[in-house]
Amino acid sequence: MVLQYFTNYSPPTATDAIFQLKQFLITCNWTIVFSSDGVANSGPSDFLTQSGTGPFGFNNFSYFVIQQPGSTRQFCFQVHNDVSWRIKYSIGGFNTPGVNPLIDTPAGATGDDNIIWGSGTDTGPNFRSLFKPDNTYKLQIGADDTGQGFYFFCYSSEKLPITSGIVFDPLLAGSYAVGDTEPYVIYVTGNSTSGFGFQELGSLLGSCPSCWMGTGTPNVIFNKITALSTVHNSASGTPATIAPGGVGSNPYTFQDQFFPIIYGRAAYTIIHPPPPFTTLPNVFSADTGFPFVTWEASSGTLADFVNAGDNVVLSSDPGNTYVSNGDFGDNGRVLNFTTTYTGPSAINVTIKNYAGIDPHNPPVFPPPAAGYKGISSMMQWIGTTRGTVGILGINTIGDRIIVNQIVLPWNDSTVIV
Amino acid sequence: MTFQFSTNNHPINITDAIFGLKQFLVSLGWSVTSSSDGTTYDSAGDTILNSGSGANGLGNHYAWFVLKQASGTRSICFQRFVFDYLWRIKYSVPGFGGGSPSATQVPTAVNNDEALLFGTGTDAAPDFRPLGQNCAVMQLCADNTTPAFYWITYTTTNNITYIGNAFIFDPVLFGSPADQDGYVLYLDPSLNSCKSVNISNPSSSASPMCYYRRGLSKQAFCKIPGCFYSDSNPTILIPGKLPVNSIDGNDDLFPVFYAGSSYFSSQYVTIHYGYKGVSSLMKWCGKSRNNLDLISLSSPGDRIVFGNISLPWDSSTPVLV
Repeated sequence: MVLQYFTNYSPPTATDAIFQLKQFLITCNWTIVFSSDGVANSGPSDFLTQSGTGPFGFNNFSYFVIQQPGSTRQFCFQVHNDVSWRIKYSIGGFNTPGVNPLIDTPAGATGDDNIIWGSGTDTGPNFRSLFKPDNTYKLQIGADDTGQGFYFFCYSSEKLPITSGIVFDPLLAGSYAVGDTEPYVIYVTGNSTSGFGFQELGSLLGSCPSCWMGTGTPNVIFNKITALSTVHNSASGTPATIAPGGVGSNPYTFQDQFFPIIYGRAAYTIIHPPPPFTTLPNVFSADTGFPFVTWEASSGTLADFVNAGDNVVLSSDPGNTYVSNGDFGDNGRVLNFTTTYTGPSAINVTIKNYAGIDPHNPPVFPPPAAGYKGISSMMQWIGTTRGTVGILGINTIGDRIIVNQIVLPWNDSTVIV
Repeated sequence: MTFQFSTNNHPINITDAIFGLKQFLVSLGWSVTSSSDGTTYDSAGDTILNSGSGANGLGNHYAWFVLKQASGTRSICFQRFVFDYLWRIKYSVPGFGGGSPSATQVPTAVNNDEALLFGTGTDAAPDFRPLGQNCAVMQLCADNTTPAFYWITYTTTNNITYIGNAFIFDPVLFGSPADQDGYVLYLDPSLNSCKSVNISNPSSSASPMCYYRRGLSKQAFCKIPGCFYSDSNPTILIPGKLPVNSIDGNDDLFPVFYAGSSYFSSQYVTIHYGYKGVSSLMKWCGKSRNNLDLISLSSPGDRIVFGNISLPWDSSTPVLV
C-alpha cells in the first residue's frame, strides 16, 4: 500500500473537486462502471469527461459509479446544483439500473444500498450540501495505489474549519476480527464546523463515520460508529481529553504524539415490550445507551416497518408529537432517538406510521451488531492542538498532514493555504 | 520475554503475601541487596527467610528489605510496621545505597534519588499505610528477562471476589527511547483495584505513578492516569460498555495509554501532563467481565480479568478461596 497524492489544487467548482477525485481514483486503478451526464448520455462507462455543465459534464442529476480495484465495492456520486450531493456505498455493487438511467442512480441489492450523504430514493433523491461556495477552498487527495483507501478534503484557511471531506478508511491490518470481510469505515463531512474533529467523529449524531457491523452474522447492519477519544477521569467527572489535543508534545523528542483512532459503538440496550406501547427510559437519547426497540408483523416483509422520519408519540405527553431525525435503521429497528424527554421515570412510546405490523405479535429481532470495529489506518488523533491544516512528521519529516484534530498520510509537500 | 507464574497461593496474611512476592522475584533473578528482620541488619543480602516473627522473619516491627531488578539498578524497598497490614514502600532507579540503614531504618537511595510509592514520613520517622486485607489468594506473574511483575491478592465471599491489593510494575511500550525510566508503578490497596475509577483517575490516592521527564528539567515522580476511551457524548465505552466482537464473538481488549491531560494538570499538583507510553501488562476489557474470568487473546486462557483490566495468565483455573 503506497499512498499517491493530488495536492494543493484549487477547484473552481464543487463538481470539479469531485471530478478531480474521480480522475485521481481512476489513476489508482478504480473504474467507472456506470455514469450519466444527466441530460443525454448514460451507460456502463465513463461519460463524465469534464467538470463543467453540458454534454459529458456534471449537470443536475448527473452521476457516476466508481468501483474499487479487485472487489465489487462501489461508491455512487450524484450532484445537484454543484455543491449538493447524494452519495451511496455498496459492497456488492449498484447492479440494477434506474428506471430512467439518465437521472436515476442504479440500485444495489436490498440492504446493500447505503446512503452515506444526502437522503431520499434513487427516483426521488434528496441532496445535501457538501461544499462551501465555489472558488473558496483548496483540495487535497491521498489514495492508495492498490485501491485500499482514499481521503479527500477541502479547506479555505489553516484557521477555519475543514469545509468538506470524504475518507474511505481501511482498518489497520490485524486490528479487526479475522472473519470481518468488510474492514472499512466511511466518513463524509461537509459544511460543518467540526469536520475531522472529535465532536463529529466521536458522535453518533450528525456526520459521523459509518460502516458494516457483524458481516456474516444475523445481526449484520450498516450503521453509524464512533471514533473514540483517549481520556482520563477528572475530579469533576467530565473526562479530561488526552487525544485529540490534550497531551502536548513529547518531552524528550519535542515531537507531537499521535494516538490510534479506535472505532466502536456501545452495546444496545434491548427492550422487548409488546407494541405499540413501548416503555423506554425517561431520557431516550444517546446518553442512555441507545435504547433498542423491536417489533414485527406476523406477516409482511422486514422492510415494512419504521422509517426515518416516522412519528414518535410520547403517550405520557400526548399533546406533542416528536418526529425523530435520528438514527433509524431498517428492519423495524429504532436504533437511536435523538429526542430527549425528561419526564417521569418511564414513558410510553407509540411508533406510528408503520405498515403491516401486528401489534399483538411482537417480534424478537436480534440486536444490531455493535461493539468494536477496528483501528483506522488513515487517521490518527493529534496529541497537541494545531491549526486546522499543517504538516507534521511521524516516521519521516512531513509524512502527516493535520486536518483539524486528526492527521492523515502526507508526502511532505508544502501545504498551500 | 516470557511470563512466569505462581498461581493460587494462599498467604496467611499480608506479610506472607509480600514475602511470597519477594521469593518469587528472587527466583527469577531479582536480588535482595540489603535487609533487616527488625533486629538484625544485613547490609549486603537477604536475612528475611520466612514471613513469621522472630529471627529472620518479615513479620516483625520495622523489618525491611530492598529488592533489585535482575539486570539493572531499579529497586523497591519494602518496610513493615508493627501491624501486618501497614507498609511503607519506596522506589529508586539507581538503587538504595545511602542514608543510615539499620535494623529498623531503611536505606536512602543513591543521591537521594528515590520516590515514596506508599506511605509517608521519612526513613528515620516512617509513616505506614494500610494494604488491603483481602488476601486469601495471591496470584503472581513476572517476566523472566525484563523487570515486569504483578501481584494481586483477593478474597472471595459468597462467590463475589474482592480484590485486596494490586501491585503492577509495568514497563511501558511505545514510550520515548530517551525516557530514562520507562516504567509505571501501580499499587492499589483498595476494593477498586484494577478498575478505571482508580487507574484512570488522577484524584485517586491509588492512581498509577511514574517518573515523568526523568533526566530533564521539571522531572517528577507523579501520577499518570491509564486512559480509557470515550465517544463525544461523552460516554465511556472502554472499558466495559462494548459487547463481544460482532464477528467472532470474542472479547476485544484495548491498550492502556499512560498520559495526563494538559487541561487538568493544573488541578492536580501531583500530575504532570504528557504522554508516557502504553502498558505492557494491562489491557482494558471491552466487555464488562467478572474478576477471575479468563480470556483468550493469543492462546486459550492467556489473560485473566481483574476489575476492568486483563493481565497475562497461564490458562490455569484461578481458585476462589
